[in-house]
Amino acid sequence: MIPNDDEVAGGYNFAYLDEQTKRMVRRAILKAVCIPGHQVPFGSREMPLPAGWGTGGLQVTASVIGPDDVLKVIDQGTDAATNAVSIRAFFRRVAGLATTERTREASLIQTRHRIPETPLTEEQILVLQVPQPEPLRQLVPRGAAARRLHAFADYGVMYVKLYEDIARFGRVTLAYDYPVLVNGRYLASPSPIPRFDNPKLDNSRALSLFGAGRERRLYAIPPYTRVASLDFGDHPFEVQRWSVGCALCGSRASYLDEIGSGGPGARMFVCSDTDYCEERREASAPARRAAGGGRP
Amino acid sequence: MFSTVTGGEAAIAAAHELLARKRRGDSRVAELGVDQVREQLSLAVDRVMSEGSLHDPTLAALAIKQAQGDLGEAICLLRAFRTTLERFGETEAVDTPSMRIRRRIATTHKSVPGGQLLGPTYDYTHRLLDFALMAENEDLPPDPAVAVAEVVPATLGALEGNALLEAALAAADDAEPGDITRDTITFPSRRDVRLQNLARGEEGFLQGLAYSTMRGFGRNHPFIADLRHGEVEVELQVPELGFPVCVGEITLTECQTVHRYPGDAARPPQLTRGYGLSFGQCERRAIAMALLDRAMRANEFNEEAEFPAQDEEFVLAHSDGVEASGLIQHLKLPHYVDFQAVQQLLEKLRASWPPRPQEFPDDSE
Amino acid sequence: MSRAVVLRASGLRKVFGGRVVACADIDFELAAGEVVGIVGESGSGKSTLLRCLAGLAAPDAGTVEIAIDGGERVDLWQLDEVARAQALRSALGLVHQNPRDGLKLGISAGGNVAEPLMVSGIRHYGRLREVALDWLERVEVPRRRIDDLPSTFSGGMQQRLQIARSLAPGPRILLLDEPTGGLDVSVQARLLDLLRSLVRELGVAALIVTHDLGVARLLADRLLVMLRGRVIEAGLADQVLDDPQAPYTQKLVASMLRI
Repeated sequence: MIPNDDEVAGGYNFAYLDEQTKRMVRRAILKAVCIPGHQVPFGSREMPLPAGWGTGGLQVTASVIGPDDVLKVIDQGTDAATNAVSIRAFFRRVAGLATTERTREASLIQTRHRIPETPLTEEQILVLQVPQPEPLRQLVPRGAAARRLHAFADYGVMYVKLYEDIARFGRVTLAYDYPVLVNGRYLASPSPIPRFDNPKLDNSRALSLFGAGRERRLYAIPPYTRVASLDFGDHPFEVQRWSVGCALCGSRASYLDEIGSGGPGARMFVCSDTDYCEERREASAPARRAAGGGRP
Repeated sequence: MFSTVTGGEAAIAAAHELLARKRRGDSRVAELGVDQVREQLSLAVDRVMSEGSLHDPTLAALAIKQAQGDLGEAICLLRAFRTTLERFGETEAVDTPSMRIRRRIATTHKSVPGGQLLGPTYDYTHRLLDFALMAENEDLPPDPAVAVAEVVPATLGALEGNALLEAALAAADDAEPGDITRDTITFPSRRDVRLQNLARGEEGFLQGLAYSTMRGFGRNHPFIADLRHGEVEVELQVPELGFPVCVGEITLTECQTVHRYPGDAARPPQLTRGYGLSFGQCERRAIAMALLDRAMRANEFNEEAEFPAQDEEFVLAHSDGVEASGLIQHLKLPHYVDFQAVQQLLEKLRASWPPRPQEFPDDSE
Repeated sequence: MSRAVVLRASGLRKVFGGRVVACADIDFELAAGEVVGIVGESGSGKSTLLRCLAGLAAPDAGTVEIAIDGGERVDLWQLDEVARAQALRSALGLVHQNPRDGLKLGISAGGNVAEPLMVSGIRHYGRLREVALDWLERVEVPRRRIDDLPSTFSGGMQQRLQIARSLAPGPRILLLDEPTGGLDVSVQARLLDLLRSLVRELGVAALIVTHDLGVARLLADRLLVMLRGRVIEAGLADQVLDDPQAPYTQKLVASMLRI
């Protein structure tokens, strides 16, 4: 369904959405920025991508992007994941945009399930694809009931979930999509990023926009906003740690993916953020790039 | 500007080529024409138009061809096209009482004003494979003996004017109808919004839920008062002219049901209404829609809403086939970042399993 | 009585469907530490009154004032929804007749007691545990049951757990709706003893709705007798029960004595 040639498609407006729709989405984004962490309903459109595959992120990106932007799209931390490739190709086709795989070069980064390891700047916007914007959904399936709890800032149910986890398992059993309190007021889903990435949202220099197309909600975390992962004083929030470093770049500070190493029993880990990993390898072996080595 | 070509990009391009080849099938068989799909698979076209929310048989046929007959995929294609269309006006409400009838069924009385018209239906066919269709036949089936165009204005047949019948929605209720393609549904919802949602709901989902009400999970005692299929004129208000102009004709199926209701403190016992409408000839979906419309009016009639079909948030949030298919199939996307997190967590949990029993020494009981 | 008034209802009125007057012209005060019983047969309007006081049903007329932090009284139904929820959360506990309505059956006993504390801002697991264990002990639920689901508890134990959940955040006012309703007689007696000592010990003001004059006599300092939505007699509990004035109260008391 996604065109795979690089020509800008005729017959469609810049970045696919018509200007009226973009304006509607931008109005919702402005509202979201004004009320950090609050879910704003918006008139989500059908997109030429299946719902649940990033249509919310796609609409946010299409509404805020301009011809001078440089777009990076990642999925699971990598630019090479098929859906990231597909979304990048979509914007090249409908907006004739410059794209990049370099975090530092991008002005807008659309992502699914990860936040880049390289710290973002005030010049950048991070767009996160969100399957379920309501952090209380699993505990309070009714939207109307959940909205009341948000209005009352009554997040007891979520703390009970943490309490019950600690009582039963000795730890909180949320590995990703770990709920955060934004600006001390609204409970929000950080999207299914691993909890490892939660601290990156706290006082981030970049604007983070969250788009949920199927659920027709978007929300925002403005730059320099306090984002606290829920925890107890005596059971503080913790991020994942590995006993080894990245097998390629040696980093001990990044989120690692386990890769099949061929041999049974032997486990190998590499950076999930491929650009970060590559940048580190280039820095340690500058000669290799000068010699014209391509990317893997 | 620069762009890099990655392994993923090449793989996607190759997948698209394979898809095109698979779509074409065996080259010794003639290629399927869009007009063939439109004319000979017309019930599939009708369903795709209904759930795709766009009355355009040719584009629906193209979508079916492009999707290799996967109607869910075809509906998705049509919807994505529909959103890009400019909205240049709103039509008047179509006048179904003046529908030119191809088929009309009323079940509440032996004889009804306007009569019954069986029309083209599978209802009384024997479901035996017709091996004669295996051979391509140049001969056209003989022209039907019955003329098709009739107008049956009494939309509820013998029930029209019946004092037992719930009053139709007050015409004075001129609140602007909602638009689910522009606004998010909020709960509790309005009936116009629910009907819009059902009109493009996934047929299997609607049918399953409507079926559940008939099996006792939210029983609402339906009768089909009027089921009709045929052509209606579409009129558009042109502000410059000041009167509506007919811009064409569309084919619809409309189903009106009546339901036994015992009454409550404010209302006498009566027959309440359910309503279903679809593009083309989609009787199953129009009936299911009417049953669900009535089921979701439970609150309005002070009925206890205890079953899924009566629960508006449950029904409306899950009825859209495009959304459901998207989320179900998104499980095919890579999830290794989350999986890694889950695996780590399970390893930790396992390391401290089984938990040491806690001591509560001062318990006397 | 010189103690501070923590709850005051004035001119309360609630009508259903335009015709059925569930309660009308209700005026009364509840002072700190006092226990007031509302008695009457079913349909007398006592449960509707309780719902208006607990913030569950808006009265058609009249005011409900409750004392919030700092002793100031606010008019419950003049507050916006958020402020009302906050006021109720901090000032008032509610015990339902059926413990299933007041407990969350899917979370542990400890979680049930700890939840209102978490809502009020306690963010320390160890402290929550301590408070929950302490409350289980006070309501005579074995400490080792802290991580069990309430659905595994007996009816009496569920009701005691519900009382612990309502009292744990330290409300000034406790409303009880037929708290012994679904329990058999021996279990009732134990629960009443427990309630009496808890209310005295904590100094919480309690309002008990009951059709059972025995319960009223055992717990209440004062009684209001309701009939067809109105308070027809009020006074000290002993006085009302030993020397009833209204003919209806006389019948009610007589029927109790016969049993």
